[in-house]
Amino acid sequence: MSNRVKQILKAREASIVIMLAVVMVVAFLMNNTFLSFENQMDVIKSNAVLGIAAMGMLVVILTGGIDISIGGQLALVTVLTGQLMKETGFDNLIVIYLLGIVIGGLIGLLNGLMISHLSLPPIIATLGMNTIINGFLKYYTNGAWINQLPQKIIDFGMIKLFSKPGEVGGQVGVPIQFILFLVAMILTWFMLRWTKLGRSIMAMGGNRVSAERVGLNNKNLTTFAYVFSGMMAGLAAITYTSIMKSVDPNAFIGYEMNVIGAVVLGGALLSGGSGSVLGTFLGVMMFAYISNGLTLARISTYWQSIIVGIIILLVVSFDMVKLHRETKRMTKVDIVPIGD
Amino acid sequence: MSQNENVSKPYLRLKNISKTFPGVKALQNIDFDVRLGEVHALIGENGAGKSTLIKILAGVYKPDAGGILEVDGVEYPSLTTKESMHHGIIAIYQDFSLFPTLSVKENIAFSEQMDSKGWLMNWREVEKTARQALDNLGVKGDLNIRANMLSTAKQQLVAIARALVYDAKILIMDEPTSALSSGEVDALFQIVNKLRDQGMGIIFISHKLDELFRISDRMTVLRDGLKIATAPKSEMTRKKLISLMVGREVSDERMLGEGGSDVVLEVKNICKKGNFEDVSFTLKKGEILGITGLVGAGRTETIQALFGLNEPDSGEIWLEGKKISPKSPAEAEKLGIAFVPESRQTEGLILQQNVENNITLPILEKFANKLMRIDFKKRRTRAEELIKQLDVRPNYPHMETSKLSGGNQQKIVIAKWLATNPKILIVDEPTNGIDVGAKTEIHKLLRSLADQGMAVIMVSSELPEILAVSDRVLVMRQGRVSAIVDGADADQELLMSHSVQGGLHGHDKKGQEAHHE
Repeated sequence: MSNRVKQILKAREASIVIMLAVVMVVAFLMNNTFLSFENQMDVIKSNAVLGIAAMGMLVVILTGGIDISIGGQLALVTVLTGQLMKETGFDNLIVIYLLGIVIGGLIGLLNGLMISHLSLPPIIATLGMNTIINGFLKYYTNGAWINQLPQKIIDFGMIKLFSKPGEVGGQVGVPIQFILFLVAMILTWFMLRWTKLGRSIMAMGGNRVSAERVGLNNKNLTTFAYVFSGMMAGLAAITYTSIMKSVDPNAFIGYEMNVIGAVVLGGALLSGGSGSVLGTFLGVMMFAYISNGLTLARISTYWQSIIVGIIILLVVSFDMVKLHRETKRMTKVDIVPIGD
Repeated sequence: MSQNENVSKPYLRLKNISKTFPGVKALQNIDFDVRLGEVHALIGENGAGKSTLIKILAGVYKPDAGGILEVDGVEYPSLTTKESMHHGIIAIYQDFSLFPTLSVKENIAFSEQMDSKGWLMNWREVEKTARQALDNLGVKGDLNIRANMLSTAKQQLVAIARALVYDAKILIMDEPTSALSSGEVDALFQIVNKLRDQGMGIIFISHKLDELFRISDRMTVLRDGLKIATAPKSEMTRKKLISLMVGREVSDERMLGEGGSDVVLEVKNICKKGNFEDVSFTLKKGEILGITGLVGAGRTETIQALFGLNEPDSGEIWLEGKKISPKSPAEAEKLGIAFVPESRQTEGLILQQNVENNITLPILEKFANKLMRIDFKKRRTRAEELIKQLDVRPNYPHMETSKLSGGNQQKIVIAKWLATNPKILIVDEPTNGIDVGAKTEIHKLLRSLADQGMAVIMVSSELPEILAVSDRVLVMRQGRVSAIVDGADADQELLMSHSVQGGLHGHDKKGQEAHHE
């Protein structure tokens, strides 16, 4: 094997790419339409929400934390903005988007302050937040859906760029949700790769003590990560409404596991400091392809979650074994040869 | 190497620096100075105050009032981390403080980038800075590899390169050679020499006398928080250095026993790559065998092998005429071996639980009936017996363990293992962090256990302690047994000379050979 190939195989994303290829081939063999442009765009559209939320989660996981309240944040934003649009007929989408991002960001701020300043373990703080939000939503909506949203958001959700008529009728093109997902990815990538803020988060996630010694403000960095996650959740939430054309307050119960699953599938380590936007994108696509492939193959949704679970465990175990081997090789200290 | 006597004025000077922690005087009235262009060795036994001194220099600790830190002509009562770094005092800790998941170049240039203007990374600058720093050190390497993929020696180079970027005037290196092979030590010394010639002052901390004589220009010896001496290398000999390090009179009362009867344990030529090599010794019923040596000599690793925590690659262990090879602590415990670990708070006790729960933990099965229901009355009685036997104070079984003093906590750890009725009791640094009075009590306890017929192994780096109770003393150096001496014949200087590389007895040549392999 040439060095270049070896290097590529060694990359953290290699295992997920291989798995992804396997899933794609299987899905294609079961149903030829899987690889069609139209189906691909549909898959991305229906997983853009997962993808955008995963970008926020990635940043939190890079700090070594976790955000269990991501489902609650999504639900809260969809319900509050949905209610506003329904009751007042307000339909300035830019303002709606900004409002969603602000609400998500505020919840993230609360999470971040609890974790960094009160030193609550992230899993407890965000779990508590999630429970509070879900309780509030039950009280506020009684579980009822919100329909009759302004036509503008429904139209917005159906926008397709570069569209042309499809073979079996309807329009084929790049859905607007894909663009939003792309924007979220580029933004996150840019932040993590090119800004001092992003590099500080990566550094702190790798070693908090070292970060303190060089004078980084761990508390502020941690808080920022949760705010960022909340803002991404806000962006994802409005995008969700644009796809579904209505709001289901219960739609996101248990959703945090999908988001965390996608990020972990993408090779991020829950211990922090390790993970990438590309990996997370691949993790999201893996999630998307499995469920889409299985649907096309007419396999029941119950089986789908079993298979998704198994694949998460497989990929993560594979990563862990690889990591163990690496650290074992690296920590081997040569014994001093002794002359006497 | 030149002695750099021409550089007259010290860059860094400590006057009358003391540091008191609750109950402990870590440093007392220290005067100490470092010049630019010298390697100044800081030497002392464990607990002599070296780490405290470093932390004061690095601004992590604030010294007691009354002392003066003078840096580059400016006097301070104490330094903050920022001030210290600003003056170019950079400490390389034993863990190197790197960012494991970031690349080499980013690790080197991190602080420079963070201090620069703007909010974006200048990757070209990062690359340039990192390359320049490595060039300065005269080393080449892949700048894009993640720091945690590097060997220890290379991580150290990254840490040194980073110090160069900080514009270090005084570089503090804490045990920099402890994890390096001899070839790597040579490479490190070349770099240290180079930095010295470029005018950097280096504080070099090491236990290895050989290395100190190779690299340093001046030496300062600390002992029990006091500065004992500062002298140029030319005025120092190994013998003098050792006596300065050990120094104190052996005032402790000796508690030697009859010296044991039948051989209980026989260890034959056990080896474990990277830990210890060719270790053999015997242990008799009713004796205390002291094991000593410097940190990193392989003492703890060796006794862990007896307790199934560190299986040897080769060699044999015989217990009462039967060959054993314990693979887990549970197995060792069944064989009748008990182990009281060094860090009693994390490894030996469950601090949040009460005394009774802790003491009876290893023997909980004995109080259970067939349905695994525990007979609490029986358990309480046994716990009270043990508390009485070891004189734990206060003698309440329901007291939370964390509330007891260090000495009493240690008694509970020992009690816990006594409950299993072991044939062999192994204690690792039994009086670490315990005040003097309680130390004697622990020593008495160990002696009385031996007198009752138990075979005891005590690992300790405190020579007075070793001398106080050991019937025989085994000294380790660099993973090997360097001597086994009778407790009655031993004194501190003898033990120390067996502990240090190239000690008193003309090991210099051999030490040198090791460095060429």
